[in-house]
Amino acid sequence: MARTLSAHGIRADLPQGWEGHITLLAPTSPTNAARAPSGALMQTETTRPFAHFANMALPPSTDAFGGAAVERLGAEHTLVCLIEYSAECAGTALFSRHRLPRKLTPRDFHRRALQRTIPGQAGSQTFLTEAGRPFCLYVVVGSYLRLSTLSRQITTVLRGIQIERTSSS
Amino acid sequence: MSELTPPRSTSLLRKIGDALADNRFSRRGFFTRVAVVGSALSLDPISFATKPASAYDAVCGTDADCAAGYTVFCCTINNGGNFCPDGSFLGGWWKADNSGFCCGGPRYYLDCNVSCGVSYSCGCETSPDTCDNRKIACNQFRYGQCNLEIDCYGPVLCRVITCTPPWVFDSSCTSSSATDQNTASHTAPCLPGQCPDPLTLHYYDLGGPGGAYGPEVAGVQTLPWGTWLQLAHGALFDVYPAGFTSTFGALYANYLALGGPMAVGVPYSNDKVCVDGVGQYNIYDRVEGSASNPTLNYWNPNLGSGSVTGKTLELFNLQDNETGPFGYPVSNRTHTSDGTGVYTNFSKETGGSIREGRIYQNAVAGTFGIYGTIFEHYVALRAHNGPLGYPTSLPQAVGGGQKGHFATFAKIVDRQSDYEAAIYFNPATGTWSVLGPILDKWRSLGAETGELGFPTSDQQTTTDALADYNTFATVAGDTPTGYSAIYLKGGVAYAVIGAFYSRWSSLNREAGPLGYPTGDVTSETAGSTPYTQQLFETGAIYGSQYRAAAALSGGLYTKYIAQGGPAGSLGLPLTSEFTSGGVTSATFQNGTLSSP
Repeated sequence: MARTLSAHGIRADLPQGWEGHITLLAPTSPTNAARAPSGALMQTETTRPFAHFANMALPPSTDAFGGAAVERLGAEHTLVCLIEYSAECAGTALFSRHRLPRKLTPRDFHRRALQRTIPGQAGSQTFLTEAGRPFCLYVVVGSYLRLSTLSRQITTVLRGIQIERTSSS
Repeated sequence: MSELTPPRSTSLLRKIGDALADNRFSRRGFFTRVAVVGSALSLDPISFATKPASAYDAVCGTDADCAAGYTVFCCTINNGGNFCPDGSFLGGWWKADNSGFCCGGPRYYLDCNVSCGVSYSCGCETSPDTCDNRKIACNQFRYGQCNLEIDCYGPVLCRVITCTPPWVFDSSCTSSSATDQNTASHTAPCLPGQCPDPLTLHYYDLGGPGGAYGPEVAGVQTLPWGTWLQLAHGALFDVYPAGFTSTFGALYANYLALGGPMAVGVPYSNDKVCVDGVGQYNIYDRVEGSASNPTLNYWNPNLGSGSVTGKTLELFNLQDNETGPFGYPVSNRTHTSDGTGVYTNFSKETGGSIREGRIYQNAVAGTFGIYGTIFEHYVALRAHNGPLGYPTSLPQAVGGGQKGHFATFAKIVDRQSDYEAAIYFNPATGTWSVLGPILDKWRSLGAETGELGFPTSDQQTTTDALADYNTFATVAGDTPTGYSAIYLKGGVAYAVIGAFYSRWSSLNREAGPLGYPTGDVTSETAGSTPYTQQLFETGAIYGSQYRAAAALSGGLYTKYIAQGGPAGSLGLPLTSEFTSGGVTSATFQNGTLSSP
């Protein structure tokens, strides 16, 4: 049964067998040993929402790029991460692409395009700005040998994502 | 003036290549592994002793093998340098919260992505010298919070570790946060262990032993104002209330030459760039209660290093610091041999040349400085060891709307001012000194605005060594005109001026028939006729409407005086004396007088 998630201006219609979560962490203070050098203002971090979608049970995690989830990917699994960045990133060279990809093909993946290279896995990473909001789309498949199948599932998920313009964007 | 970012990196890319080309499995391996266990005990003694983990786990944390898929730490492949090697750039960052390595705060991991166009082969660190055998330049991934203007990038070369938020020390990074707790226990032997003191953490944030500051010279030491860490190429400080500060490079070398923290205190900022964008400076101080005695340390790559403190600093501040006429200090203060004070040398770049100067801080003469042509002349006269003594003024404009400048001095003897002196510069007459009674005499006659004008010599001694003198000249436009002199003999100074000086000079001055002057020019009358006269040892010069300067000497002069001189029957001379046929004569208003 299909499922719809919506939070923080991100909406996703997930196909059957997929689950996900949209998370916004509270900022943590750079305290304890960390101190600003002389004259520097110790500004706190900026947190923005991130979404994880997977065709498996997702572990509870604070890891934006799914560090805990990728370890659990079976060969038939895939993880889609959509991470929003602070507004100042929007429109910069790195985030100059103007829309979320709605389709990924096997050629969009590479076995080294991973935050952590795990044998068998492949990844795809795209920085973009949509609805005035900067994002990184990071997709990991459990087995690059199944990319043709998994990329079709991923495309379905991507076509179900809607990003709304927010007051801060 | 802007504060310098503490230096973070040096070029070590070639060394990385060399290191990777080494034979990693040498006989050194066994001893290295022993050393690793020792490191484990010292870095994380509790974990190593109580948990079922290998020494490598304790030193390098989890996922240290190549197969784990994570990227190596930069300090492992960068000669200990905890910064991005050449050919890479900060591509982004993430954090692990509640990190023991950062004393419970967030620990930041900064990815160094290979720059576009730079080629690196994917591999693993296999050196037996380290247990950090993670991947090098394999993971084509980017966190994406730093250097957003760069959209072309290669794989992650290595990871930098800090406890300071990346956006605080690198303006290219945004504060847009990402977390990955899975990497919380990753570490390497070249990184600091569990929660070292804040200054050590800061040191590693700035690159650690392989960074610009180099290895430690001494461990963290406590000071009355905080702590400091002495390093090969700089020093780091943690001082209240400023926090982390530093001094580096040539400024640091001079800081040590000044005696370091116990001599001049500590910096309360990082080094700063001077207004000209060329020099650098820092201020050191020992703030104890309300007392403050700052030392201003400068370095200019074209001029060198130097510092100012105390009353010299007060004067330097009043003179607009390094932007003022003195320019940059190029020495630390030096004590004068007579024990009455100190001096500091300065240099200023002006129009392609370097102008030198000096400020003296003297207990008797006060704190004054000179520069330029006056200073050059002062040094030529042996500076404070010479006849002029110590400056008692700054260079100042001459009077009467004329061109030039001057400075005054005082000769100190037995810690008291013995006499005054001055150096004057005028484009037409040059730079010359006047001192003691001759200076007093010149001043009494109006100095440079009087009828003598500017000095055209230093004080000279006559050939017979019986007197001293200076010569002077008035100036019209840029040309010297009438010349004069002041002679000092037997402690008394007399001026010989204008036409009288010309006449006296034509008669070979003190070596001629008139000898030395014995008085100044006086104004007299003969009947109703005004005239001037100046007496000499064996004669006189008269000036009147009949003759501007008529000289009489010897027997002729004696006869003339015997006959009443100008007020006598002969009246005023119409000529100077002249000799013909062995007889010396002169013509007067009312006749001729001859001798013998």
